[in-house]
Amino acid sequence: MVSVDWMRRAGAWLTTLVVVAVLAGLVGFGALTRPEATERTAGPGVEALLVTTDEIRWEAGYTVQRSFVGRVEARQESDIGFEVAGMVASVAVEEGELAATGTELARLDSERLRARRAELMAAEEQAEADRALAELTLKRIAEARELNAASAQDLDDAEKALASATANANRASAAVASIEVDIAKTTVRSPFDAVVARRFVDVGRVIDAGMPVVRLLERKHPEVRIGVGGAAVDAVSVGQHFDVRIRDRVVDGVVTSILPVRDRAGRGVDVVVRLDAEIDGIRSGDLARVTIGVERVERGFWLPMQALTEGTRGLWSVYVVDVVDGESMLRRADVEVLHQETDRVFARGALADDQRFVAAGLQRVSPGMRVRVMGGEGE
Amino acid sequence: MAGMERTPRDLETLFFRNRHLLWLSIVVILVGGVSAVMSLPRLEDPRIANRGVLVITPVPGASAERVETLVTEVLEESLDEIGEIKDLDSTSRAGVSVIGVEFAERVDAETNQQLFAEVRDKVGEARALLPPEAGEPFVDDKRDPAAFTLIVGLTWDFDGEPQVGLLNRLAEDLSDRLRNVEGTELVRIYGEPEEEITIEADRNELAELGLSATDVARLVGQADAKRPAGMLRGEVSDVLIEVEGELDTVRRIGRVPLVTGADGSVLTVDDVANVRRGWRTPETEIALVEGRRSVLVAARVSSGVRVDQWAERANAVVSSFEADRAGGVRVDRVFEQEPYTSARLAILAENLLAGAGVIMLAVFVIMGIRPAVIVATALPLVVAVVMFGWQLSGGAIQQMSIFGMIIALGLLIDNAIVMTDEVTTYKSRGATPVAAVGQAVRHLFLPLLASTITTILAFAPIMLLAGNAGDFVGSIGMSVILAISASFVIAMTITAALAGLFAKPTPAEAKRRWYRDGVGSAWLSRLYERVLRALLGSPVAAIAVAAALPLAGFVVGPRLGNQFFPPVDRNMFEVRVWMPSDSAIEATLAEAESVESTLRSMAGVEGVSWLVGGSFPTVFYNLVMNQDRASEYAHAIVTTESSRATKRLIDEAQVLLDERHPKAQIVVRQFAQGPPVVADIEYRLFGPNLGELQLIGDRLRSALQAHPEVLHSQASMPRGEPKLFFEADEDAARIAGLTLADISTQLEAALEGSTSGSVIEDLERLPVRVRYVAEHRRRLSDIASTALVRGDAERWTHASSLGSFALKPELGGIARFDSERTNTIKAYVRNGGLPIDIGRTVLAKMNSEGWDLPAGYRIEFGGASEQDAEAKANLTTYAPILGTLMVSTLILAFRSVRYALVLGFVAVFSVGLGLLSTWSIDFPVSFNTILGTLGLIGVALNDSIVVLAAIRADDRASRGELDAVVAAVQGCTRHVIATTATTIGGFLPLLLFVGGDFWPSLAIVLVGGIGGATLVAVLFIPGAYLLLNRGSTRSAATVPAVVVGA
Repeated sequence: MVSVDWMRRAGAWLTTLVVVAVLAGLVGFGALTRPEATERTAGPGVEALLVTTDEIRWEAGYTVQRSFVGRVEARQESDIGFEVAGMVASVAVEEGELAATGTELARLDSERLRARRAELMAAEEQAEADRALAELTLKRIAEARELNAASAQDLDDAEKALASATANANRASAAVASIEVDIAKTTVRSPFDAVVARRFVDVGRVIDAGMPVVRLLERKHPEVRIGVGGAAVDAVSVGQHFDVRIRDRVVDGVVTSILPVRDRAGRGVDVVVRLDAEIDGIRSGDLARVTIGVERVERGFWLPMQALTEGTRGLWSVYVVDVVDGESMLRRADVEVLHQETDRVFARGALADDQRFVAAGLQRVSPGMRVRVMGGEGE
Repeated sequence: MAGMERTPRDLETLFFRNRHLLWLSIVVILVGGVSAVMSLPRLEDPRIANRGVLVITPVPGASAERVETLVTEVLEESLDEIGEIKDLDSTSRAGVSVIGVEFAERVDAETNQQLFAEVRDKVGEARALLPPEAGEPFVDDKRDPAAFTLIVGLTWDFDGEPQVGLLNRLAEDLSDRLRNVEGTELVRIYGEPEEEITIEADRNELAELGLSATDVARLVGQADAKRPAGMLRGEVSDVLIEVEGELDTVRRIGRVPLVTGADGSVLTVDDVANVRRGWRTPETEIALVEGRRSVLVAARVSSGVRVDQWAERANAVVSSFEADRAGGVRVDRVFEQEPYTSARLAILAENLLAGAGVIMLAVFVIMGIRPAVIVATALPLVVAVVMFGWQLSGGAIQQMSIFGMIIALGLLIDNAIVMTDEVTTYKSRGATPVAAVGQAVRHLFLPLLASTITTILAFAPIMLLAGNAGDFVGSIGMSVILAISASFVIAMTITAALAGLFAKPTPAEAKRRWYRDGVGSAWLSRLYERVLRALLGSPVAAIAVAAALPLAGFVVGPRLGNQFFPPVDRNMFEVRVWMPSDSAIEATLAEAESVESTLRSMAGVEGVSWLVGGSFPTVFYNLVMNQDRASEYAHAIVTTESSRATKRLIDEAQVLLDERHPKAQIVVRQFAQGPPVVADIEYRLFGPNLGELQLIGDRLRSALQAHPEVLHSQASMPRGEPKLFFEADEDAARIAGLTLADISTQLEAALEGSTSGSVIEDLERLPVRVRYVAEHRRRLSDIASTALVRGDAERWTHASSLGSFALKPELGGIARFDSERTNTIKAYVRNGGLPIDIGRTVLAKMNSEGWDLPAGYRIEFGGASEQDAEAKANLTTYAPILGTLMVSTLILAFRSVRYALVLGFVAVFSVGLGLLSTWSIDFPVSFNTILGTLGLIGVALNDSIVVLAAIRADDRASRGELDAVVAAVQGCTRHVIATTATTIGGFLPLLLFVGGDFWPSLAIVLVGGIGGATLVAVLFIPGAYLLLNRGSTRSAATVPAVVVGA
């Protein structure tokens, strides 16, 4: 019985061993053949992040752009009037019309002057007749004197009479000439190439001498007076050309003068720019905009605004790409911003020419991170 | 009924004796069940209670630090007095303070409203302490983690510039109509422009007139006479008087006089400005549907409504709205939840049926046709009771509750099988039916009650689980507990009675037929007996065999990954795009459009919808809408041709987008199950110094990024954003007649515009905004030459004459967590990665490289890791009492502490078996694994209790006699096998035919574990029993000393 019992126990143990061994074997086999889950070689996240980079390019300086606004003015602006008083007979131009040099603008009523001229001309004719008579008389007395038919006294009288008649005739002519001038003065003409800006009087009005009749603006080369603030005025010189923007138009302008006074309140200096344009489309009083570039000589490099991140203590940093053991790593480099524009800044810092920096997508990375550089450089 | 008189009038046979009661009970149960199914709300996913509120306070013009001290801290202190608040998560940014309040887990859907009111009160109290420049704090409590049911896109479908204003009006109209649909909970509009009337003035012309934009706004506002001008009080009636001339049209605004000239001429707004109706730019949100500008109308069904019925009504409304429109605007249903809900519920229902079918087949094969039919009747009855129970408890038909039913299937059928088997056995021994029923019920009452109670206790933690995870999986526990309890009661009453009535034991001498008696083989049972006898001959050996698999499970357990919840299969995925934090919305929009074209180049992508500037309205219950007015953020929902395509596309798209769009941070994410989690990995760094926190954060981000599974990382405390400071020369400004305040108000009005007055068009109120034309404020140099108007209005001064602009970094935002400064580092991992493990690995690696946090700084896990830990901690909240209860039940049932301990081992072994099964198909340990393991514990205990009860029921076996024990074990093996087969059967369809990781990760634990549990029941239990009783009996065969040390 003992052997049977022993056999049974042995059988039980054998079964146990076999079952446990098989189970253990299955588990072990499974464990060994299972690929390691963490050893992925492809797919998202495995490769380092791709970054867009750019290269540092040192430059000698930068230009600060500032725009200023001024008002367009005509170079000459005259209120034209008559030297003489009188009633306005006609105004030949309407507001806005062009008037070339010499174009008649307005005319006074000259009837009385003309009547007076007729009177004076008649007087002139009379004086002329008197003079002619005096001349003939003198001729006759002179011939008679040669024949001694007249006295020396007679000759003297006749000579005097002639001189007097000549003077009378001259006076009469002068009076006519004077009235002619007066008549001419009843017409005003444009003294320069102009545009009629305003008409002050209408026909029928009696005006005094000197009262303005029309306002003329010189058409050619209007000027812009720009109050340039700050230091930008130092960058402007007489003779310099600018693109002047007037509403949607861009015209060329040249600086004609820079006033030596700084406006007390506005802190600006007036700069006068003559436009290479005519008052035609551009109006006097239009606002003109000029962008003045101030050159600053200061070595540095341009960085896109997106490449900037905060550094320590209010400084700015960029992430530069360092190649360490064939791997691109990001490192923070501090820069000092010298000048900023809308979407880029001019900065300087301890960065070499050609040094690569991350140009955009800074929110994706942090310093010390391994990255791939777009285009494969630096890999 | 006369024959019944002699039978005892005991409770056990009540249902057998009273046939009316029996049949009426069945009818009542079935009717209750059917009516419940008809009326129960149907949802795709369980509703997670809203435990979060946002308190948003605008503080115009204040820097982040000022906002933090003056607003955020004050509000936080006040809110801190509410005891139910778990976390306060705040961000103070320049101009705005956002405080996220999160309530404790114990807050649920009933109590949260009251807390929201309390938050409002506290905020109201604190209002008086806020600085005067702070705006009214806005409390937003409508951010439930719940998906919208229907999202309709109104898309501009015509040439030329999209008329967004028109789309907006249409969207308002549609949303009103949808709001009127019965059962609508809320309707929101996304991507709508803020319509307004813009007066774009020429800056220089205004300056020439001595006016600033503010002056124009004031003049326009004064022209708006929308106020009563007294009353004509007559003798008979009173008549209101109003000055005619309210701003009603764009033309009217254009005619508002600004300046009166000396010669009586009047300069109107039209003369110096361009008045047009438009919308506020830059916009805060832009929606794109299929690449075209649109406005989204999102509607959500309330939780007590059947989604399918609501969807029908809502779709009818949308269709009639669509029919009213003629061209120009396309009406797209961007997202409809209903098909997903129906499909998901249909799949689960199919699985339920398939599972039931497989179970019945198994019962039939093992027990024969007659018992199978009797057992089968239990299924519809239990399902009906559960449905009725849901109705009573206010539950809903959704995937989790149905899944609970599937888990319960294998368990609930057990009781019926055992009862039928037992009644048949007593009948076959010659007992009368009524005696058989009585004996069976008496004999089985205690063990079945014990196993039912242990199962209930095993699932109780899930039902009682608080918090988001609890809301999500709680209904599983609820379903299982309902089902198990119902099945116990039904087995004791109806099944027992039915078995008594219909079971017909095969006479011993009759030839056995497999269809009648179940499949059996004399050869197989002889072999089984021999194996049993051989193993139980030395109990330690039996225990060793049974324990081998569970122990192997514990060996491989630590190698398993950790996961909160597995991803879900859907023909959708999301793309999140972050631009640098100072990006303009146009830049983000351009990037989004370019990302869309990349996405569209990929095969399988069908539709792409965007919301630029904020989170897309949720299309999945756990997507968090946590981005508002974020011009750097764009969020896309991509639909694909199939869920398989989604799986393939996610990795491909991630790689491609990373390659092609290096300017943006892009994360492609598959939808995951479980409570909402914002980022995969989250660390919270605490410490006093912002700079140091940033440095540590950078270090952590680099380490995270070096991990091959990590895609992108972010820090909540971003580096300073560029801010332009106007360094005014105060003296110069004073000479120019301007104060610094004048300068800043004039600059602000010039750039942002100032509003005044409004135009009312029908139901819309359009504010009127005055600002300068875009070309005067687009470039820095333009801003520098902004004309500043002095009081005397004689001339204007350029901003640049009075000072210069300097670019300085300004702190973008200060994040705080529970009133402490925090830098939250978030990271996103590749699809299928295990964030919890990665988070720990990265930190461990950093520590091993000698990384130390400076004194005063500490690090905490957030995100999935924290939620997982919290959920697990919550799960164990009731563990002591539940464990004690379970042990007490077992002790009481078996009147022995030792057997309760033995059964305790069974529970431990179940855990090991669950781990082994999970490992066998290479799944990580997720919350689902825990759920499955709890189920497994229930089944394993059931099996073991049955075996233990059988051994103790037999006199000789209970004394530890080997032969009798083997016979007892053999006797109950049939229904142990039946239990195993039915459990496996119930889950097999879920494991094999449903794609994705969610269900299989749970099913595998039960399917795989139950095999081991059977071994435990038939080997470990008798082995342990023999070992424990060896001393008390004289078994001839054993010599104890020999086996020691095995």
